[in-house]
Amino acid sequence: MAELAIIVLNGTTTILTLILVALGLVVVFGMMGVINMAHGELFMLGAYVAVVAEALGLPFWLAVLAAPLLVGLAGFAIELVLIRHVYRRALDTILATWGLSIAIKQAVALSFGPGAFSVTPPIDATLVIGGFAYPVYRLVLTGLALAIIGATFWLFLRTDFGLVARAVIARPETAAAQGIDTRKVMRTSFVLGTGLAGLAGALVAPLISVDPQMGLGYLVPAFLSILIGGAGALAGVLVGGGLVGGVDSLLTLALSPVAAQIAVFVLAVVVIRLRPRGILGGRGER
Amino acid sequence: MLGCASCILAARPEMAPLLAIEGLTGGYGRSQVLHGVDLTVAAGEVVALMGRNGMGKTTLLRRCMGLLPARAGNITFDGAAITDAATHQIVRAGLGYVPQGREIFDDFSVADNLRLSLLGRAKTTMPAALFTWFPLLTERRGQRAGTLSGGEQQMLAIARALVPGPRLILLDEPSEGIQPSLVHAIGEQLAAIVQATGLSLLLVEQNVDLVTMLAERVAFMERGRIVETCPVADLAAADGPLARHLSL
Repeated sequence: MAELAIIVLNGTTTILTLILVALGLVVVFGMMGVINMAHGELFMLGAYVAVVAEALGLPFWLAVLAAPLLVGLAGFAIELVLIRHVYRRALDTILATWGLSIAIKQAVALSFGPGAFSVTPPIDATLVIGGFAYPVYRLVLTGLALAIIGATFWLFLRTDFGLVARAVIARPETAAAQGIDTRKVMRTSFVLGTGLAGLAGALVAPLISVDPQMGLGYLVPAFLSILIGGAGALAGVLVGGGLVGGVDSLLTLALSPVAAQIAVFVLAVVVIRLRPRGILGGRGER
Repeated sequence: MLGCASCILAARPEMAPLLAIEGLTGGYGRSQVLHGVDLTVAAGEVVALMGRNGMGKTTLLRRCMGLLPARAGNITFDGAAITDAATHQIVRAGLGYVPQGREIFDDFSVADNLRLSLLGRAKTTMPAALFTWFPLLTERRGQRAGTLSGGEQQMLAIARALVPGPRLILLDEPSEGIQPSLVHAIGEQLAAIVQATGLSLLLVEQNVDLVTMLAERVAFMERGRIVETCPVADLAAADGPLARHLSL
């Protein structure tokens, strides 16, 4: 029974971590249609904020506050210099952000070296469940992920900013013709998406190995989660993240990580074949 | 050129034009659609823009709204140049737009479609008369806009443009895809609004009945130019401008 509880907790943490990583991508890719190949590197930058904070002897929670701000600032510059010129030009966006992802990886490798770093969890305690010790930080991360996911949904579905952002994303010209400054809204949404990637990176950093190549390992499942759930529907990431994270954690435990990855790709192919717009694609809010 | 340039200001000679378009060119990419358009709309005036498909009517409205990049020519609104202004600035200056095909936000409620026009602006309340003009929208406030009929969606698109209190609205084919009885109702409603508020309209329309019901002047467009303007009464003539430009 205790073993099952641990499996469920681990699975929940994996799913929520994936949704947390994918959340920024939902805004940038799912809603704005920007295929940001550098999203994994923005996540990685957030993790490096935690690495730098630890090296400087600063509290981890300060890094958690700073990461979305610093990575969001980087997102602001990226939008200004790069992304705004390629909105609604899918191929150009892929090439531009792919180049950006390589540049960020190399810049980080040059600055910090190619080796991996670890970040000490801010909460050292463990919770004993039926003889098994479970790290409290994983539970805290689960709670924070839920809160961040809830806050993002609230922002986009319940506030004036969210209404304006969804209008601009759905019909930019019509939104402009209603007096909305679409440039400002697109930039703000992109910065929000990148800030969320940075926040996820800092929060997940104590559970993973932080290195310049780590982004890709998170980018692919994040994209798959959005494609399976349905790009365009914010709630799609919950369904997609739940399926990808659930299958991955269950099969990793039952078989192997390789088998789990194969199963996730098969799942993606089947879902996209049967429902090209994803499980929730074509309905729900946009 | 048929008609006369003097006709352009003849309808309201005492007034400076609210909207003045001079030598306007524009188009999509390398394709030039507008070839030097000259047109004015006076305060409180309703001008209809007619012409065959592909003559540049929609392009002209989109260019006026800043939805297409500036090339040559000038647009002034209430004396201020808006040729290079961004769309949201043009709207905030007092120009409204009802696009062809309505383009309402299908997944939003009727109320949210209307509310969007107020967000981020100093004005925070809807015009009091809005729901008197369109009582149906009061009943459907919470309904998803995509589930409204075509005519109801058109009413919503017009109401949405009215929310910020514009002085001039550019209306692109409001009768398109709507059953005739509703077209008549929309026409009557627009006439009442123009009467009550002094609103100006630049109306792109193929429906002669609607044009006759609303407009004071008609401008005909061919191959990206205004080729004739005339009082709306001239449309009744058998060999008049409708026969010349639309073969009607």
